[in-house]
Amino acid sequence: MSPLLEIQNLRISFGPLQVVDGVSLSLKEGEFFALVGESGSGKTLTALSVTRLLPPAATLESGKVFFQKTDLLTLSEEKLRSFRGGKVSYVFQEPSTSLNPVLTIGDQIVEAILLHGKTDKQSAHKEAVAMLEKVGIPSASTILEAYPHQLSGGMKQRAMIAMALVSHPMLLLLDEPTTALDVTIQAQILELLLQMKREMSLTIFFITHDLGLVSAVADRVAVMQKGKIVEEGNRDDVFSHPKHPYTEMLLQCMEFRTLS
Amino acid sequence: MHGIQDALLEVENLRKEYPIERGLLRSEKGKVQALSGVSFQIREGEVVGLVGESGCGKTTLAKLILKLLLPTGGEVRYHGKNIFSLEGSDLKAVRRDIQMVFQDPFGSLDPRMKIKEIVGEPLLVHGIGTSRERYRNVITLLESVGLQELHGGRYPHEFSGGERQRIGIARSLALSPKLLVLDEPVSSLDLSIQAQILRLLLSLKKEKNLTYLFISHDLRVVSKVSDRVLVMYLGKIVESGPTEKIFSKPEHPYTHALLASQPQYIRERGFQGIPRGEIPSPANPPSGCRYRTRCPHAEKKCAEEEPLLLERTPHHFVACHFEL
Repeated sequence: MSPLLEIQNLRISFGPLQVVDGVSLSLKEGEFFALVGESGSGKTLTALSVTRLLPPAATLESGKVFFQKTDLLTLSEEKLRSFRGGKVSYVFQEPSTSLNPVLTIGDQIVEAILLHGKTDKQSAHKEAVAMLEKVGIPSASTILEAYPHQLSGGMKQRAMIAMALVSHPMLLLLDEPTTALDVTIQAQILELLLQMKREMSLTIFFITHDLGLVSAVADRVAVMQKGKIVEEGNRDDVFSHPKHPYTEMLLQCMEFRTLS
Repeated sequence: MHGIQDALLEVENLRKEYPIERGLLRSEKGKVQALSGVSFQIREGEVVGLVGESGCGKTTLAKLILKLLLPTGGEVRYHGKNIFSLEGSDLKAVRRDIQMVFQDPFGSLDPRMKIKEIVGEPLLVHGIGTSRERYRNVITLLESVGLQELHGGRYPHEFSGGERQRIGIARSLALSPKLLVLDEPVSSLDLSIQAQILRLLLSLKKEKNLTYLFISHDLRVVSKVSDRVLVMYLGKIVESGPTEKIFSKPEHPYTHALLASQPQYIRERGFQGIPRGEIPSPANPPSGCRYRTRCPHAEKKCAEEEPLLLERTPHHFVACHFEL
């Protein structure tokens, strides 16, 4: 089966600094793929390049990003728009800074629906309620009227996920979606993601620094260090038989084995 | 759990409320109960871990122990003396003995001060030594946390997160304290750096005979460094005991839920043990047992009667109506 997303030899630099150095990855349809690395490893830039959202200071030197058969990096802005937030959705780390503080949750979700769908405002509103309920937000119609600051971190992240899912994407990119959350809420969000993946046949591209999280949910794992993929494999292989010393080191740190 | 002879720090029935003020006249519209009657002791040489989710009162507790806040009620006794009734030189002496390491290594260092000024400031404030002695002291402190003399002339922005946390630790050690309150000291660091800092903290403890109150939301970290663990929920301690016991045979449903939310546990047993819903607002906590709104075992009694924190087996305290 051909991959849903294929990144080939991606190179990104910040001035003289090579931050992504020849990354190649491929995601099969329906899998939960995790890209793991410490801060500065280049994992976020790799993910941002998929939707061509690199910060202005970053230069894309070379590489191709195929979504099915389309190279997203050479697509016109106009055509790219049907992918970005359409077939490919993105959820960022910090739910409080990625939601617009002066618009209600409802306004923001309805906006996303109207941008990508051909519905009117009324049915978009209904869709928004349905999606909020789907992601486990109680009394969804009240939450629609709420502003982001009125919600807890967990609820905001659920709302972000709802917003990402209203376009019925095929690929959902998540960059550290649970890092800012408490551990019990983190577990709830992971459970939600697996449930959404099943119900909506999503492919998930999950970026994190936390190998522990990945051990709970991912099908396949790639480990990134200093702009390069140093190890890639099925979850159980990577966790039980890491081949690269850096992976081994991360696993040791994860359990703080070196302390006792 | 009163009157342990060798207790370095005793916290007794400590309460802290914050008023909720609204409108032009700032009239009081209610109270946030950040801490609702917390009692525990720390013995000399112990590492006591404090775990709980955001909003449970961990940081309020830390600030009270340092007398950075005043309580609504209750006492914090250091060597038997209530720190809230101390003044002048007595208070200053206690302040030397209890020091804090903060979570955010970026926010807690003044960007316009050189490292040697940051680390030496506590000595200056307490008027210890001549300027030359202080400088020598600063170098020793920097070396004890794995930095060097040459780092003293630099500014905070020249350092990584892990190095800054080392600087914060050096500063906290400047006055040769007895007790360190560490508020999420590794939470903002990469995993590999977390392990380095924890190793440093453990070796400093041994070397300098320190006692730690180690506050963290991360159970993995707490399980590795603590002798004893306190589990807090919505301003109360719900379970406390030896680390071994808390992690292998927890008895409070909330401790169960915290453990079940750990990724390693999820990998082995799936999602069934994770708690439903979210932590309620401390401005309006549930009646009776505060955990009952998320507890799978909750019954009528839990809403009516607040469970007491009782010693079930030696040194193991649980606040729950049921034996699970």
